[in-house]
Amino acid sequence: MLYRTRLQEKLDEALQAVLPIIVIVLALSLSIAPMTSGVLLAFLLGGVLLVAGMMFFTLGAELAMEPMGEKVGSKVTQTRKLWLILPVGFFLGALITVSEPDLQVLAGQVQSIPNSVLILSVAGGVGLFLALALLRMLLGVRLRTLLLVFYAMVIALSFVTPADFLAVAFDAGGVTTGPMTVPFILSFGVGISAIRSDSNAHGDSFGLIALCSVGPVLAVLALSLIYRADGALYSPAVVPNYADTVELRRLFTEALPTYLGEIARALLPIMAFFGAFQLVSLRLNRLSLARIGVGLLYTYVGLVVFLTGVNVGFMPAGSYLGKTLASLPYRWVVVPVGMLIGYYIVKAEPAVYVLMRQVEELTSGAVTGAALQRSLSVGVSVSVGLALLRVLTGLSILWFIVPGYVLSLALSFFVPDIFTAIAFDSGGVASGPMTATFLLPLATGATLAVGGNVVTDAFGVVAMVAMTPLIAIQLLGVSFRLRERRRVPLAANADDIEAAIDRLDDYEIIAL
Amino acid sequence: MSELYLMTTIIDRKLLPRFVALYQERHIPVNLISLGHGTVPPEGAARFLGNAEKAVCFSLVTAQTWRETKRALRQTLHIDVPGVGVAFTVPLSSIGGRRELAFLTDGQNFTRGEESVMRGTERELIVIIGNQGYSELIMDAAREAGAYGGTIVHARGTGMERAERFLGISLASEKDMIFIVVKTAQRDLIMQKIMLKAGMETPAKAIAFSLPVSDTAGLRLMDAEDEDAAAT
Repeated sequence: MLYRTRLQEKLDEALQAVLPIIVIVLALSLSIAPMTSGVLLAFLLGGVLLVAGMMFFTLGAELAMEPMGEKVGSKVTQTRKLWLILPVGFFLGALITVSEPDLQVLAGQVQSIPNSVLILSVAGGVGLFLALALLRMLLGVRLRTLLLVFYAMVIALSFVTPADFLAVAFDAGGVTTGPMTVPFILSFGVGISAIRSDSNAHGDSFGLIALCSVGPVLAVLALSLIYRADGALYSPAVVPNYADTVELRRLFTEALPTYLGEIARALLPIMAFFGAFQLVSLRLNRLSLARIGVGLLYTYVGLVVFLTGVNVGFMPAGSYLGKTLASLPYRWVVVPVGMLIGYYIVKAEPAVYVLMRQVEELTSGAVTGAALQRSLSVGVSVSVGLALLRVLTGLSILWFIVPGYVLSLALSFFVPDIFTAIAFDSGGVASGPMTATFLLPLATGATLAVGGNVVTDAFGVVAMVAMTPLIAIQLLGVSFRLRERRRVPLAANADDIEAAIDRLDDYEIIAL
Repeated sequence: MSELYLMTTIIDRKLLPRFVALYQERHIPVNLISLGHGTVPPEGAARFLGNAEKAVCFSLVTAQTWRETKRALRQTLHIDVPGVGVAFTVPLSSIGGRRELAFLTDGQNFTRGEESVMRGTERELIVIIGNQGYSELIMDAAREAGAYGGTIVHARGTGMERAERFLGISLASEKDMIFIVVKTAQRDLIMQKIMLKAGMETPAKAIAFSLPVSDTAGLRLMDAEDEDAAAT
């Protein structure tokens, strides 16, 4: 009874997340954007895998990733040993990042920097910033202060970085915080604040991902100065080519081992990390361990299925869609269509669910997941629109990124701290595999159609998707604050008070 | 006839907005919301599907408001359908301050009545506070004595000493609070089992106490099963 309803719930969630995108693409393909039936069929099959993958992933995150992160976070803080906490933070950040599949893709794109140098420095950057984020919590420095300092550095560096390279550097921030990293690090932060009783505890639950996404941007920007990087490569999406449906299935099954390996590599460091903790100090009972084990299995299966579906099915469709839409005589149509897709696509981003749950839990439902999701949707919608506008006009990414970050940092002075933390976290959360495999190919396809420069124009979509949520979520915070101020205290109507009560003293303890 | 009650509603988290809307419509001024989880079922595949997500809402109501609210809970929100949730009332014994009383009962038609009946209620609410992570141990003990399921709310303990400091933060111990509504007849056995299996000598370090529950809504299933048992 219970388990049927739980699965049903997860299935409903996954369907709600993925169906809108499928409907939109289907409608487009039947009206203004002709697609070969091969691409469309692969897309639909990918959609089915997406639903299944999403369902298992959210279940797994709930059963395994969240409890693991929370337990390790609480335990390590309880030791009250700074020499332990900071290295744990560093290695956790670095290890998880090294194994993040998207980082390998990024390294492949950047030709002028040796892969190992790039991967190690980005991983080092994340590790360093995670340790710094922990130190910030312990010392009680405001998150805003650190964000101001580091984003000022980022903006300053971006003016001296070669233009060809900027987009890739900013993409790095969004790319490295993937669906594996986010649940674990997010819960790690929640675990740390769970055992705190000071007034900042709640606001501090978030903000780890925020600083973790600055690390890679700074690392890549700094590297570009050393290596005099002069551009990036991109690999065009492979249009699926198959004769019959069995070959189509083969397309998916052939891609499967890649992701089986990738996700195993990504999951392994987290498991090893947790295993070590369990042996040394956690000592959970067998049922809890069994639940975490099963949850890890769900996470693994879910992510493999999800990534296979999205890479094989969605990537070609995105690229195709971008190309056809931008070759239309009324090519501006790609902007509103992209915005519509952007609005719905963030719902299908696996890590968003984890953030929604954690925010709801931490604010005891005051900030609902639905409100958060709506703000994210609006944010991503705007960012896709702007990114596609950039594709059509060829404007430099600096025109968007710099004012965007300045605005979001300025907003942080007007909203409660917790919203700033959630907002800067959600930047990394919103830009996950859906962005990389659907929005990026969409922009790339459109750039190719208008004859622009893929490296400067199309790249940067990820950076935009990672930036607009900062503004959108903080605006949600502003509206939250305004609503709170407007709420007038209910004044008890003195006439209603019965005479017997009226005779009582103001400070009397009234027995009932 | 018009005592004040602490009305506690424990429901599926997704339904919370509808319940809160109903309460606000009925001028119940205070609704304190906390999020909790259902306890893990003892066996079967359901153990590996995550915990049911619940919301706990505490509100202050007068007897009259409760009677009306209960009807609405049954008729418009179908609280008796299994899996929706429960609502129950715990009588208050006193309240601090005249203005506060006026505020809390504003629009609820409060008149000070006779002393409320605190003993001999049909059901009681057992509250168990134990170290975090031992809710399964506690529930296993409770189930042995015939309890069904409970709801867990995370809490932080403050302890008798001042909170421990570590650099700029203060550390507290993590606790689980478990709510179980039981028949008064079952109460002693369940609490004894919990003390024995998860009490102060065990790592769970659980303490248990009970509160009188004057009325409930949404426990039809429990009633029906008891009637079945009585019939056979």
